[in-house]
Amino acid sequence: MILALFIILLLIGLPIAIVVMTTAIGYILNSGNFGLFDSLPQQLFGGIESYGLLAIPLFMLAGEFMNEGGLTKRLVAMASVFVSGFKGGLAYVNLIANMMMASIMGSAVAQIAVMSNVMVPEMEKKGYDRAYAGALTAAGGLMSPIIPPSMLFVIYGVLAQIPIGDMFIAGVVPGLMMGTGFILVVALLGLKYNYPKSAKITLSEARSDLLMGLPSLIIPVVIIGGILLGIATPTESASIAVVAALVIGKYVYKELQFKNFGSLLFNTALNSSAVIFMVAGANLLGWALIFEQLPQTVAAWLAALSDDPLVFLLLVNLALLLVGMVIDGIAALVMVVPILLPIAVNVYGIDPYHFGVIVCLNLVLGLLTPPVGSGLFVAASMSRVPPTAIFKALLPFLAMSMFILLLLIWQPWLVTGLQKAL
Amino acid sequence: MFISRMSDSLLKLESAALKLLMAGLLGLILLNVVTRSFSYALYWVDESAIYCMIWVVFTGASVAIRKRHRIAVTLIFDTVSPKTRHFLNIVIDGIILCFSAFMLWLIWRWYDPIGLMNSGFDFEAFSADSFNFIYDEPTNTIGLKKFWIWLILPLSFTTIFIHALANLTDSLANRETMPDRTTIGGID
Repeated sequence: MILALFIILLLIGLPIAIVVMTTAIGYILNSGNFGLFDSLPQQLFGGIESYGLLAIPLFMLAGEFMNEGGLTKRLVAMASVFVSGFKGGLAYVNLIANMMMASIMGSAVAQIAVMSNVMVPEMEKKGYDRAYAGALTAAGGLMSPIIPPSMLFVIYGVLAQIPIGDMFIAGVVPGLMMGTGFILVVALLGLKYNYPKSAKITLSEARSDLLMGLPSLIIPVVIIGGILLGIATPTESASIAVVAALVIGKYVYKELQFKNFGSLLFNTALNSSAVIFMVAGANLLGWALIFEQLPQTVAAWLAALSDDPLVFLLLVNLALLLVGMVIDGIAALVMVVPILLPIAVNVYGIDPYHFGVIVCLNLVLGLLTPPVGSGLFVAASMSRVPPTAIFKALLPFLAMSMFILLLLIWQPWLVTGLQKAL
Repeated sequence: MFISRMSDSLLKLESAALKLLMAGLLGLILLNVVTRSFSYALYWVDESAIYCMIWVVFTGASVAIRKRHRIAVTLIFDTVSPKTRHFLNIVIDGIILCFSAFMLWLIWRWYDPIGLMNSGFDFEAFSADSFNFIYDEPTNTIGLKKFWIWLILPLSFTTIFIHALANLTDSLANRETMPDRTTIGGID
């Protein structure tokens, strides 16, 4: 009954945060445990009383400053230096620039929007098929939530109550695997598309591009270095990145203007509050579900199917691919984790980091699958190609991501190995 | 319409507050980084920053309601006729209105201002009478009672209620004062 209410509210387009909160209220009403209402407001507040969540507004702010201050485009220019003269050079530039951006930005859709703007016109000018250019950029954006920092990982870490820095480390190897896998796909597709050769640039151009790009490189170094070496929490690295982006954009590239600060702060506040409000809802629902024993019911039902963790993960995968088609990214994460995580960890003994990377990668794929795929639509509108054309060109990349996903499910050490080594 | 005008002035106030809180949040974390690197960590900074963020979240959620800036599943919303969409908007506004009213009622019971008045604003007497310990809970490091921080809940749900009411009257009067900025699926 409550489930039906939940689905109806979701489908009519009620904001997801409020759908989740209303469902929590519905569960409490249904269970007749009205005493819970006395502590509901406090639970709503307490659900986001978390130091880790501070990283979300800060990473978003760093991203805004980087775009506004011209750091993003200089990173791309720098990446193009390394592949000048190669056949299909620009296609590889796209991926490498995307990997660099992924180590700065934490959101796939934001990254696809930024990178489509920069890369697609450039690739088309050099003779690439526009739909292919859009698809490649969209695929590159998939790495954003896997290579640290990652908004999805922050939220998963908060929901799962595990250290966010460790969650970031778990994403490094899978992120690099995706990068390598996509480069392989680009090389194979070269046989079909006959990429244009990228123009050789002169030595002086190369030198100036490298020099100009160098200051921007501080940002990924600060973020990744701080987290990997364990000298700064993700929240602290993010705040240092904000300052670095601000100083470089304002005083080195001189593109950032103080008069825009107000609107940058406002946009960041609005976007991050939308995300964290959903997390508040998810925690409220998770709290209501404990009393409702829903995870136990689902667990019993799943355990009857199989007690093999591998089978469980494959089932979860299948379910999430379906969920990801209709609900995207963070929204899906906050609804799924409170139910599935306790089962994965307590019943099947799956490592929470392993589970997190798999769930996040899975939901990221949903960003590019119709009928609802915000990443796909952003890429389509930015490159002015119908979504169907982009989706068709995306299929080889999605196949590669699926392959990597299955590999990660099968071999957990790919996720947890680096953590143990450090 | 009075309620729409009131909602719009509130929106301006909330937008200014959002910018201030966001700047404060950044400032606090930076203060933490700087003092920590001189190994002179200020113990109250982390908690203050978290509260700053929570105030941003609830204020931002309220602004988003008025701006119809919603993260929602738009599968049906995008495919139906403008007329049905208008109808769905009215339903959504109505649900948000009921939800905020219910939350306000819960928050009213929690803060229990009348009970507090009856105890003569004596927090200890109030807790002893009602077994409601809201006014006893301290913050960890700031030295304020927690109920001051929790005040964002009554504040934001009041503004959400007013915004939802304004949206509803606008929708019913067929006035589209705010652009419909429904986003698909999620941000990430």
